[in-house]
Amino acid sequence: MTTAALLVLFAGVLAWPAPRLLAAARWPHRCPRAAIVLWQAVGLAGGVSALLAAIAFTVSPLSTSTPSAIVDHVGNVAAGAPLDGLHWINLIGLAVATALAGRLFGVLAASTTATLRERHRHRHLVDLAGRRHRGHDLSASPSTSGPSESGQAERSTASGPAHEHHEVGGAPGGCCLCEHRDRAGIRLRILDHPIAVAYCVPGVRHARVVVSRGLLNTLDSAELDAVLAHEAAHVAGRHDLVIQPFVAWERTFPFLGPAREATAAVSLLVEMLADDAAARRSSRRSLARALARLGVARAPVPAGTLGVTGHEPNGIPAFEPDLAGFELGGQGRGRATAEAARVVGAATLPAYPGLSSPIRVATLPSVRPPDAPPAGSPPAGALTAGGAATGSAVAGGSAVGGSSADGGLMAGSAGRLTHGTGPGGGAAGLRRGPANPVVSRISRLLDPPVVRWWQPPCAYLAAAVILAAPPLIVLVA
Amino acid sequence: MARLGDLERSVMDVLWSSDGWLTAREVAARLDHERDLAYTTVLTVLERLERKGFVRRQRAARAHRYAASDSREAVVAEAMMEALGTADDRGSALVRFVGSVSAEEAEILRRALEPPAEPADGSPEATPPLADGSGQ
Repeated sequence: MTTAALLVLFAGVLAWPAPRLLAAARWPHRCPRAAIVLWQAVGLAGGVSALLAAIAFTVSPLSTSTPSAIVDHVGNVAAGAPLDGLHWINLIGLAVATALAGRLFGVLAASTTATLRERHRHRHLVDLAGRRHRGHDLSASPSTSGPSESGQAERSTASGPAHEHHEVGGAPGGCCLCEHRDRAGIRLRILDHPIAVAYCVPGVRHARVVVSRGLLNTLDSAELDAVLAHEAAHVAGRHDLVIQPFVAWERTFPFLGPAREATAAVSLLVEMLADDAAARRSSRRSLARALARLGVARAPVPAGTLGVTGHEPNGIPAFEPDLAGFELGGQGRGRATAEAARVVGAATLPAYPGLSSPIRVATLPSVRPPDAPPAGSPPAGALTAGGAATGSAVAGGSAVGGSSADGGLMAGSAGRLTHGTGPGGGAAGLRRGPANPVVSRISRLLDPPVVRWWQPPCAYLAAAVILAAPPLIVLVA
Repeated sequence: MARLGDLERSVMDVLWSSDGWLTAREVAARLDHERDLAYTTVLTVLERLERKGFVRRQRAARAHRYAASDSREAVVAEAMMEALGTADDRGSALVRFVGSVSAEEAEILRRALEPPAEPADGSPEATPPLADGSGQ
């Protein structure tokens, strides 16, 4: 009986407070992989201990120790008298266990099947109606900051005749669409549609990365490269498999808030994982800018909404053409800014209306300035200007780390940021508690969190403990 | 190279680029594939596509004639609808780069992207105006 009670208690903790805490915690953003493992442990151990609790309750009259009670019960079942020694109340436990298990696995199976079917159909649509990458005359301008693997660059130029590279105001070079197209196992499809969208259709051998013409028009080549690397990371990491059980969990208990939070948190962590992978292949800043651009493009904007937020004059139509020259500043590495509200307020949202000239200076990414500068690269003075702003960044309270290649640029942005937000002061709507996914991803990219060495091991250890707990409770209690 | 998926695609391309109904033979003639395809192969592909609802068939005097059921734009739009996900659907069938963004979040991002006051320092990048993706 105590075993069952303990297991119920444990399952309850894992079903309610644990996801709450984990979803609200900030540290998972530092080490998404370990955090995902912890989430998986919480979900799995929660389900297992709920089931074990029901079983332990059912067999509790047979013996004081649960394992031997289970053995007794199995013996009874084998002997053809499964109900021997059980009270009617224990049978309720059995019914609950069966129902719970049935629902858990049923929903998992159903949602997985539905997902697979939907995916299959979608892949078909995309294959039929999407274009492959050949002869792109869209904005996929030559990539200058593409992945450095020279082999791939060579291959993409070698296969050149198949697709003409239209130069859109830049030096000729590899095309990141071609590079990604050539990456093993990933098929790129282009949907001829003005809305900017990028996604992947996961699959074992049939993964597709889909981008729309709107996306190609919206992003510059470095950003596009980052987005494609991000999607490729999803495909390679089979992140869909990570999310799937949590979706099932959410659907099993739709009335349970934490299940929803868990799915949202894990989705975000998976995105961060892919962000990290993409950042290794291209640049963090490009990815951050791509996120911001798409976030805006994807917003439900229609006229009325803008009015509500009181920003009508700068509504999208007027402002979109200027996207090319925007600047998304970053902050150095402000460790003190771990708190979400501040990160959102200070780091990610640099260019308030009040900010003017200096912001512009260090615009586009160019991680490797010596190479042919990307179309739209900043004027020559940019880097120095960025560097000059560093002082104010430090003054603004963030320790500037020059570890990244574009540290100077980032520091510069941070300087302008702190500079700008100070006097501006406004940004009332930004001081919100939980950061929304896109914004927290952007802030994380621009201000990479410091991972302390003990954090991932601790998370793994916690996961192991949580997983080991239900069997231990059964054996010991 | 002539895998079934590629074939289906090429056949759809032919149907989409033609105005009227085509017989399987006409489709086969217009396919520019690396190697000549057997007429029966094309017929099989057409039948598959018809089963899946992408192609309509019309009984003509001698042979069946085929046409695409929906325009390419309609199919693209359908895919886009799914990709954009009407609701906050984390069905995870597709892994999106950016999920839906609320109006408030959009406002935040918009401010982040907002071009500063002076337009003189315009970047030379030839990014065409964003096709209005918002007016969906």
